Parts: sequence; C-alpha cells; structure tokens
Amino acid sequence: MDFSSSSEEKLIRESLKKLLESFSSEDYLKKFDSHRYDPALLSELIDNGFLVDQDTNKINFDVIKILSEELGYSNSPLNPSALVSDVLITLQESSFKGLSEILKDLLSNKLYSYTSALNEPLNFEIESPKVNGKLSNKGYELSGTKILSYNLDIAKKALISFITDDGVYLALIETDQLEITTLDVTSKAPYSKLNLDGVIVSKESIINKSGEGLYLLKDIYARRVLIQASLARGMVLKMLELTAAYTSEREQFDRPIGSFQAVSHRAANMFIDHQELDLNLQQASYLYSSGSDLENQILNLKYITGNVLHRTSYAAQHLHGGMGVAKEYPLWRYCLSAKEHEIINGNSSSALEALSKNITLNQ
Amino acid sequence: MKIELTKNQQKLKDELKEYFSSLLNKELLSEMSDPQFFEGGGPEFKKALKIMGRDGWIGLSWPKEFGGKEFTPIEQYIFVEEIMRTGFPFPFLTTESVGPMIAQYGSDWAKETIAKSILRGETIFAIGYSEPNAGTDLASLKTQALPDKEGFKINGQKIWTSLANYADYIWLAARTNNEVKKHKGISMFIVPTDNDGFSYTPIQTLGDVTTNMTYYDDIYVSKDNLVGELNSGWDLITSQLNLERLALVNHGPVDELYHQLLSLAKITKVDSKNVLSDIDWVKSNFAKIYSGLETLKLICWKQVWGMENNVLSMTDASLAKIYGSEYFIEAYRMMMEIFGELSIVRDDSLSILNSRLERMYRTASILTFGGGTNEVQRDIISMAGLLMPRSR
Ligand SMILES: Cc1cc2nc3c(=O)[nH]c(=O)nc-3n(C[C@H](O)[C@H](O)[C@H](O)COP(=O)(O)OP(=O)(O)OC[C@H]3O[C@@H](n4cnc5c(N)ncnc54)[C@H](O)[C@@H]3O)c2cc1C
Repeated sequence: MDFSSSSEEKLIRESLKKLLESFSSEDYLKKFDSHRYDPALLSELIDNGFLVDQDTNKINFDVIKILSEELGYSNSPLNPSALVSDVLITLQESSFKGLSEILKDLLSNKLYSYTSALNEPLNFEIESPKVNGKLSNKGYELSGTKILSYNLDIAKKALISFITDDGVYLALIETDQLEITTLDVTSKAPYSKLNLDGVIVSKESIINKSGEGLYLLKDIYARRVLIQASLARGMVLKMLELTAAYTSEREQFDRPIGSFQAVSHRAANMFIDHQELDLNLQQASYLYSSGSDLENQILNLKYITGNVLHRTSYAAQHLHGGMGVAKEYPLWRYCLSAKEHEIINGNSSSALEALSKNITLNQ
Repeated sequence: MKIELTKNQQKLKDELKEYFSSLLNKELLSEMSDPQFFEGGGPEFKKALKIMGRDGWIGLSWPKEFGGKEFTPIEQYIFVEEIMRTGFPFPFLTTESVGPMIAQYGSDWAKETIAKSILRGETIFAIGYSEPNAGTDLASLKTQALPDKEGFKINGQKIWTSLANYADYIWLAARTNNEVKKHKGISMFIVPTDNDGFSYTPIQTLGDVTTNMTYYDDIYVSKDNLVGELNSGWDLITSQLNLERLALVNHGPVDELYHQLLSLAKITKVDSKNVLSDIDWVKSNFAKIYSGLETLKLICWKQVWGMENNVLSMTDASLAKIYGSEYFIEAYRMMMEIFGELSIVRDDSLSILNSRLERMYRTASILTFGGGTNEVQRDIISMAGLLMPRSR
C-alpha cells in the first residue's frame, strides 16, 4: 500500500500553484464576481500543457484532477471539466474520428469552444437522460431541456446526451442554431440553459456506437464526481487554512478565539472532514485509473463531497463570525462555490439512496 | 397540559393573516424583492409601517397606557410568526425591544417624542453594539461618551450596524466609565443619524444583506438622549438581546417555506409518471424537515409559555437559540437538495426558490454566531442547566 504522491505529481502541483498565483489575488477575483470565467487563464493553462499533453496530444486525467484541486484552492474563475473531461476524454475513449481536428483547434485558438450539456432540471442522475430522441429519416428529433451547461453561450459545439428506444446516445452538435439562455447562478459560474425541443441530431454527429452510450455516460459521471471532489478538496483545504489562521489571530476576551476549545474542536472537525474527503477521493481515483469497477465508490464520494462541502462551509463561516460573510474577506466566494458543487450532478441524498439500492439490492 | 393554541390565539392568527394579505399590495411586494430594500427602508415599506402604526399593530408588548396592545408573549410570538411568513422586513428591534425600553427608561423628551413616533411607525432604529474588536466579547466595547457641557460627546466606531443607512437613530452602547469592571461602565444613548459627526460605509455580505460600518466623530448629545441610569447600559443590552433571541428562531418562515415547497414538489413532474415528491430520498428529506420543524415549534411554544407564566429558565432560551439556528441551516440544505440545481438558479419561473429559499440559506449562518453565539449559549446550558463548572 502507498498513500504518498509521486514526485511528478508534486512538481505539477508546484508549478500550478505558481501559475495560479496571478489568477487568484483579491483584485483579480473581484473582476470576475459577476461572471466567473477568465479566457486568459484557460489560454495560459493550455500554453503550459496542463490541459493537453504537448508531447502525446492526450489528456491526462490525473493532471486534470490536480488542476481541479488547485483551482478549487485558489478559487480562480475556470472549471475545465466540461471541455476537457466531458468532451475531450470522452472523445478519446469513444469511436469518434474527429478528435485530432478538435485538439488542433483548441491548441491554436485556446478557446472554450467545446462543452457539454448533460444536466437536466430535476434529474439527479446524469447517466439516465430524460431528453428524448425520436428516430426520423433525418436523424433523431429531440425533446427536452438541459441546464447548467458550462460556457454553452460561447462554445461552438456541445456534447449532449439523450435517450432513445435503442438506449442512450451522445452527440456533438453545433450550437449556432440552438436556443440558449444564459442563467444567473448564485456562484456566478457561466452556465446556460438549452432548449432541445425540435432539434434534429444527424447520425453523423453521434459519437458512440450503438450500446456504448450508457457506458460512456457512466464514465463521464465518474469523472465529474472525481473532479468535483478534487475541486472540493482544494476549497475545503483553503477554508480550513483561512479558519485556522483567523481564529489564531482574532482575539476576544483577551485571548485568541482559537484557544477556546469549542472553536479549536470545530476547526479540528473541519480537518477530519477534509481527511474523509481526501481519502475517499484517493481511493476512487486509484480505482478509476486502474480500470476497476467503482460505481459504489463514486456514489460514496459524491455523498461525502456534498456533506463535507456543506459542513466545512458553515463551520468556516461560523468560526469567522461576521467576517466570514463579509465580501471584503475571501471566504464568501468559497461558500458560494461550495454550494454549487454540493448541488450539481445530484447531491448527497440522491447519491446515498442510489448507493443504498446498489448495496442492498444489486450486490 | 394543553399543547395547542387557544381559540382566541387561533383567531388572532387568522386575523393577522387577513390583515397582512391586504397590507402587502403589489407595489410593496415588488419593492420587497428588490435587493436594495431587502432590509426595508423603501417608500412602500415606510408607507406600510405607518399604516400598521395607525391600525395599532406596532407596540404589541407595550403597556396600554402608552398606546400599546399589551400582548402576552404567546400573542407576540404569533404576531412575529405571521409577519415573518410574509417576508415583510418588520423592524422588530425598534418596535419590540428599543421602543419599550425608551418608553420605560427614557427621558421625558425621549418618551414623548421618540417612543410615540415609534408607535406611529415613523421612526426606525439601528442597533449600535458591535465594534471591530468587540463582537462576542461585547462588554469590551470602546466607543466613548464623555461628559460635555450639559450632555455627552461621543467618539468611536461600530461595525455591522444594520439599517444604519436608513435609520433615524442609532441605539448606541458607549463606554462612560473606564475605571470600573467593563460591564459596569457602559451606557445607552439615542444618537440621531442626521448629526454631522455621524457617517457610515456599507459592508456587503454573502446573503446580499448590506450592513454598515458606522463612525461617530465628536457627536454631541444632550443628557435627554441617555436611556436609563448612567453606567447601567449592560442590563438594557442583555434584556434586549434576550428578547431578540426568540424572534430570531421563530418557526414561521421555515414552516411557510416547507409548505410551499411540499405543494410544489407534489405537482412538479420529474418524468411522464412521477412527481418530485415520489422520489424516496425527497420524501425522506421532507420528513426530516418536518420533524425538526415540529421540535422547533414546541421549543418556542414552551419558551413563550414559560415567559407568560414566569417560569422561563435561562437554559430554555439558550436551547431555543441553538436548536433553531442550527436547524435552519440543515433545513435549507435539505430543501435545496430537493430542488437540486434549480435552487441555485435565479429563475423567474420558480419564484419561491428565487425569492426566498436560496437567499435564506445564504443568510442562515449569521444566526449561529449573531444574537449571542451558540458556543456561549452552550456554556450557559452546561453551567446553568447542568450545574457544571464554568468554562472560562
Ligand atoms: C449581517 C450581519 C448583521 C449584523 N447586525 C448587527 C447589528 O445591527 N448591530 C450590532 O451591534 N451587531 C450586528 N451584527 C454583529 C453580530 O452581532 C456579531 O457578528 C456577533 O456578535 C459575533 O461577533 P464577531 O463577528 O466579532 O465574531 P467573534 O466574536 O470574533 O467570534 C468569532 C468566532 O469565535 C467564537 N467565540 C468567540 N468567543 C468565544 C468564546 N468565549 N467561547 C467560544 N467561542 C467563542 C464565536 O462563536 C465565533 O464562532 C451583525 C453581523 C452580521 C454578520
């Protein structure tokens, strides 16, 4: 058994930390408070080979996870998940032919031109899409809505999922003719809604072989949870560090508030929460990279991620007193992002129920 | 034992519901959904408050001789519950804690001018207790009021002075004696916000609540502005905070939201066959919310019953504050899970979520450290309730 991280991983983390320094200062973050997306950051990450490996032209999911942790920690305005994990890695895994063109476009233009639209209103399982596709002579005619699609308003193509009589399909479709509405989300992440009623999906835009769709979508879900947990790990670590530092400095009753046991114990609980998340993330990551079955570990990780984000966000606010909610102090942004990731792609309660069904009925 | 509202109390509840449904007209509702007026202060708010004053709905706990209603604690609780259900930012602190104290302990001028205009719905106070270095340890506050001619000269700085941006006066705690133990050297003042020495800067918060930093620069007030005896302010502060505490955890707003969301879940389709409330974990979340709500209601009822019958213990008040504030956070979380991703989207098509749930969750944490932090409330329970040794 080995819980240590490799020297290569440490190196990547170090250089990412350095790069993100200039994308996380208070003055910088303020500029993105009404729209949390910075194209310059995406471009910088591409230039430095953090999204696509410049030698192999492949996406390394382990690097994407480290990147997500560091983005969570720095709270920088970018989530690469839809572009890199949903679209590029899925295309890499599927029988789709045009990946090299897409990579060429990405590496030269450095734009968030590809995204995914997989989430649906009140659908807590993205592996079971409710957008319906009816076979017609032109392809599939769709009905239904997608929500919280990241950067859909600026993307050229979007990976969408739908269900047909013949199972789940994934298609990469042009966005220019689509009805897209930008959404005002509390965290101010750049999400949109997509109305797919009457949209025709040609057979050429479908990226999976028959029968392969569900498998690809389950894999996308697993990666989303891993990325969310990585973002969460970074956020929780930062909230924990802020809390430890603040309660060591802030004095009430002529002593640092951190010297009151009620305060230090609650901070220690945040630390335990962080470990719970960290260990389960490591376990699930390991199983993912070794190609093992990890459905239960992913559901467990989603359950834990939501709980830990919720608990640490409120503990951090509470232990800071008024400062924890003041917008002149950095914590508030973490709290909004924490809620976003707690509630997207299902939540702790929905994941726990799915897990309970798996362990009591299926296995 | 009889754990239910009496016929008359139920009648009062119904009367209030009807009254508020006519008071909250379209203009007022639209103003209430505008972030700059979340805490009140807009023209429609001011209008409504005067109407309530005219109709005798301000001064519930005040003695009848002052023009108050002399409501019992249970009736007051019902009033707070019903008004909180509507979301109207009623200035309880002014009407139910500062007002009665001025009416009882204020100078003749304050009784005649200030107390009466509070009753008419024409005067609003902001609470000036907290300072940058005096939060939980409020008694260490440093804002000074030094004797000057016939009155006092005030200098200092306060933080988190909510409503100061539109309030007429600050209910200000200031140090008037440095020589004695810190609790014993504090006095309460009525400080007009139109004084040249008064200024404020806004502080924006996570829950879109704007509060303020307030500054007091050589503000002269006459001795008429002192409330109560010199150096006896701490007793006024603590009795005010005790009153505030119960209003903070009133079960009304969550109960209202719970019913609205449950009705919505029962008609919101998730596929061709099922509605949202058919999902097992959604049912379980609703049941957990219900269970906590029942407990909170009983805790609050027991407390107002205790107040009415003079058997209120310190532990009951602390328990209510802790249980309520911590339950709110869990309840809002479970509600947000039920509406999933839609609950973080500000979308007009889901107006309940839009205007209430999402914002209530963002403001909930303030209650666990504000109004007497929960750690100190737990200290009180273990000390006064369990007779355990003092922790500090
Ligand atoms: C939106 C908002 C509106 C407000 N409105 C007003 C207002 O109108 N008027 C006003 O006067 N104030 C107001 N307040 C201030 C509020 O009352 C204070 O935030 C509160 O008293 C806590 O003080 P603090 O923020 O300085 O936190 P601190 O006192 O610094 O506390 C920080 C943490 O330390 C813990 N702690 C402190 N002492 C102890 C101890 N002895 N044992 C264990 N734990 C301890 C606390 O529980 C908390 O978790 C408002 C605050 C906010 C955020």
